[in-house]
Amino acid sequence: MEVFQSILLGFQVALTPLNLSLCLVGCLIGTLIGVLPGIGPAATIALLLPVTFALPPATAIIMLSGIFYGAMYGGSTTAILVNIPGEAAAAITCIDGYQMARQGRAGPALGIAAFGSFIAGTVGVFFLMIVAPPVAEFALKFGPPEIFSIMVFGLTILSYLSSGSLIKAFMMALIGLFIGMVGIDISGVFRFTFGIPDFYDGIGLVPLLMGLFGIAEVLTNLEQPIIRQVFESKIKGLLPNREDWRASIKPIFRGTLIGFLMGVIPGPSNTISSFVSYAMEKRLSKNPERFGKGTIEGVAGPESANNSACAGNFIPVLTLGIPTSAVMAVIVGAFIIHGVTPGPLLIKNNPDIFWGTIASMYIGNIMLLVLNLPLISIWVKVLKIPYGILFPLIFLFCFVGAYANNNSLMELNVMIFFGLVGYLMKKTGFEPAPLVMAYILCPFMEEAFRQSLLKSHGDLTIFISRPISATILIMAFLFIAMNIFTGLKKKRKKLLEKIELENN
Amino acid sequence: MSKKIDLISSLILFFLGLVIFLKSLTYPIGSFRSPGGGLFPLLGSLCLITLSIIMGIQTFLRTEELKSGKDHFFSSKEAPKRIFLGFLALVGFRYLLPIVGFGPATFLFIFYLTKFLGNYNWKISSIFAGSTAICAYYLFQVWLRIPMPPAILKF
Repeated sequence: MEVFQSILLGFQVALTPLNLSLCLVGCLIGTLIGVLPGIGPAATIALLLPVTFALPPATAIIMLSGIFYGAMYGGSTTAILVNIPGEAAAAITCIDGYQMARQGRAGPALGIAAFGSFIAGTVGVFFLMIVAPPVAEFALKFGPPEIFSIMVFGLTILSYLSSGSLIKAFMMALIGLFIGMVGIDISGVFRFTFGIPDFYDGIGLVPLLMGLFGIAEVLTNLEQPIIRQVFESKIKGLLPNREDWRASIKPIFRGTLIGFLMGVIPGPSNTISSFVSYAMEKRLSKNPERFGKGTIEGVAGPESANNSACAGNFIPVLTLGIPTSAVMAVIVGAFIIHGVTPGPLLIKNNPDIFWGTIASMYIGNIMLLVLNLPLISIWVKVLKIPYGILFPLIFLFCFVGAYANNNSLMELNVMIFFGLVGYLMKKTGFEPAPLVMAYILCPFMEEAFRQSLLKSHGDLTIFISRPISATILIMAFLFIAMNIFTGLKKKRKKLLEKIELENN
Repeated sequence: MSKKIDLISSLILFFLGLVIFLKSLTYPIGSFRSPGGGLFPLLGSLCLITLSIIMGIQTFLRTEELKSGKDHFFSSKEAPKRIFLGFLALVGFRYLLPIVGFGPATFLFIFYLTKFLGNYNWKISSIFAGSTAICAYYLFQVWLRIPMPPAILKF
């Protein structure tokens, strides 16, 4: 009952004209960047962070969240019409979605993707609303050792699920920690500032993100001109017929459940959940041979899964303050920039932000459904914007965003540096997500580590002598052990190679 | 990923770990009972050094290349040139900005990118760069009032 009273408060926040209009703006921008291959939600949210500085925190988070789940809607349009995933999470939709388009069924494919996304998004937000408060209440029992352990766990899982080597991911997490250490520490020591006054407050989040995601992404895309061939047939009949619904309804609900459960786990869960959903639908289908030839179940399940995963992604962020992916790391950064600490106390201290964000997701999902289908012809036109025109504008936005952060030219140097580093990381198989996550968690992690040691008078066993902390660390250790000792390593590699091949 | 690239990466990360290790020794380490500012980076650098050594050994012992289709650093022959031109544009814009001001720097930046990397002709590049520079000037400097660095050269 308390949950429903709280969600009413959330709707009061989300339904103010400012929040409503910025939710719409977020959803539209999200769909736009979802449609456009070559720029992801993490880069876009990073680009738009400076725009939110003047906004109230709840409004900023509502808009940035809208970009995230809006991108999931948009990604399917490109996958179906162009056979290129607008978002990595829509990679698997290309297989059957594009085949449907070739058979003249682009309309129902786009329609079921939108309806499936809407149902999954809404049900996912409902699960989020029910699950998040008890998780946050449980997390209130956490002391510094548990907080440190859960952060280690989060970094381990994210590293485990990052594409590429586990060691490389761990090393990136360590580099992220070192970047997070730049500046004055809690005891007043200047660390790694090299006498540069701009570094006394640490390396800025905005230039770091813009470099690693914005600049690096464009530099990678610049290597080769992107050729897009938009499917040139008139799109008609967006509403799926009864037969389509009958075939899709079970995959939609199965996808919703898979997506939400996988969304809670750190890593590229949106992408993985859509692959798992596709594999499950193929296995459960009476006619598995139809998969890959334009079956609607192959669109409905994965599209539902990746949208539901968005809601799942918010649970660790809103309840524990732990980002589960690069996009979530950027959203945590947005919380911090606005002076709000995401975590177990968020519900208690900032109920307007917590419940307002959740309520806005219900509204956003409706907006996306109502807007996306009629606007499909506009998105098709957007797809035709040449990348040669688009990338200079992305660069320009990165520059303005990074500079406006502190009105400092040093921020531009930092952005260019991390742009180059991000590009080299992409080329050498190092993932930026663990780096960003560790960078954001670093101050909290170090504080929790030092407080734990002070509390235990220097006894390191405090991390394994407390039951919750020990359980979390054992779980983290098991993931590492599994990676080293079992055949799961091969399975993981196969799955990730498949994702990587689809992404490329 | 090619063996050579992984070996070079592990070597770079090893030296980075070593530099951080040495640098963290200059900060107060304290003890586990009373940790100082240098303890966390010291432990982190030791982990980085260890992991880079493991990665180096693993790569060295690897007999086959991974079949990920990414054995070459650049995806095409043209790629190094394009990346260099892109990077040059970024650095150029950064240093032009305080000299000529936001509007002119934006025009030159966009023109350079569309002409040399977007492969558009002079006319389209000029029109696009001009309109972008005007729109960006009014959007960011006039409307959003972002205080861009003052230009040394006044036009």
